[in-house]
Order: sequence, then C-alpha cells, then structure tokens
Amino acid sequence: MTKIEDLVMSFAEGVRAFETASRVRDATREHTQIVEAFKGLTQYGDEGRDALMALFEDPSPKVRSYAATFLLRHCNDEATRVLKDIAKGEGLVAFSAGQALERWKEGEWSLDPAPKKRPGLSKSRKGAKAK
Amino acid sequence: MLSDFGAAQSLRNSARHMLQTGNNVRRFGPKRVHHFDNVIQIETEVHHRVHSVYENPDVGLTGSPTMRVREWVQTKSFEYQHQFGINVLRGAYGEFTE
Repeated sequence: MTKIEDLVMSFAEGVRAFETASRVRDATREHTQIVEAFKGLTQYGDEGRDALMALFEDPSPKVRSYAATFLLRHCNDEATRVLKDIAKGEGLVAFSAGQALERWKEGEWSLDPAPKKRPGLSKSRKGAKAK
Repeated sequence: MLSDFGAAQSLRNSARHMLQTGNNVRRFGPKRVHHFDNVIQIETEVHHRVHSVYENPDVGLTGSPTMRVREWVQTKSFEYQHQFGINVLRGAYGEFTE
C-alpha cells in the first residue's frame, strides 16, 4: 500500500470511528486523525486530493460526506453532487451535508484554501528572463 | 425559573433542551434564552445526541477543520442559532426514526 492509499484509509477509518465515538474526548481524537490525514494528502498536491475522491463511492454516507466536504474546492462539481445526494436523506449526516454546501456558498469554508499567489513573483521572473 | 419547568421535569426519560447555550445568557439576556419558545422537552437519548453534535467538531456544519459546533454557532445571531437548533433536533430525531 502506498503512503497516499494509507492516508485515504486513515481518513475513512477516522470518520467511521468519529461517527461512533460516544465520548467527546474520543470524537476529538478521531477528528484530529481525519484532519491530519487530509493534511498529509495535501502534501502530495492534487494527486493526494484526487486519491480522496475514491471515498465518494464509500458505503458510509458520513465518509462520503466528509470526503466531499474537504474536496469542495478541489473538485467542486463532483463534491457538490455527492453532498446534494446525501442532503436528500434524513438525519444529522444529511443535515451536515446540506450545511457544508451552505458554508461553501457563504464563503465560510476554510478546509483547503487555495494557495495564495505571491505578488510580484511573475514580474521578477520576467525581469530575470529579460536579463 | 426552574419551577416553570415542574411539569416537564416530571416526565421520565426526558431532558430539557435549550435551543441556545449558556454563554448566550450574557449576550441575549436570560429572559430570551430561558423563554418557553426556546426550550423544548425531548427524550434523553435525543438530548445526548444533540449535545454530542454541539460538543464535537463537524466540518460540514462549521466549514472549519478545528472549530466545535458550539463555538461556531455562538458567532451567529439569536434567530440563526434558534433555527439551527431546531434543524439539529430534526436531524437527531431523523436518526432515531430511520
């Protein structure tokens, strides 16, 4: 198993354990695992994010919902489709999926912000080429 | 104040659930937070489920990797929190009736 596959599995296992955690302390630990797994995947750039899209087919709606919520910027159309589908259901997972779409629309989503462009970099590169 | 809930307290396997939380008393005033319109009698298991939603992070509800739902919702208006609380309750009930 590659490191990326390992991180995807860690993400999915974290969501499953988070969903069934009965104590806040356990839920917090599992949530940290989810966030760390995603951070690990982003270290591989879009290759890591693409790998997480495999969880869009996971049997657990919570796992699908979490993967889609984290990937709203990376693959907005597919992630939106997944979340809309889950939001049609009943219960808290459905509510959370619908809310994720709201946070995205409201600009309150901060799970994987686009990298900031460094101002002036392209200009100096142009200058360097001209020299 | 508690005497207002005498009848509700006599119900078995139930808990009072406030649609807004403790810190809001300072912000919105105790009268508004403890008003009957903002308190509901629910089954204990649903109360526990709703409580765990508020105490935990949830990336879908908050859009943040670290914030707990309680921390996030407390940044919102009274009306927003009230409606959000009703929706969480509906979601929790949905789980128990599925």
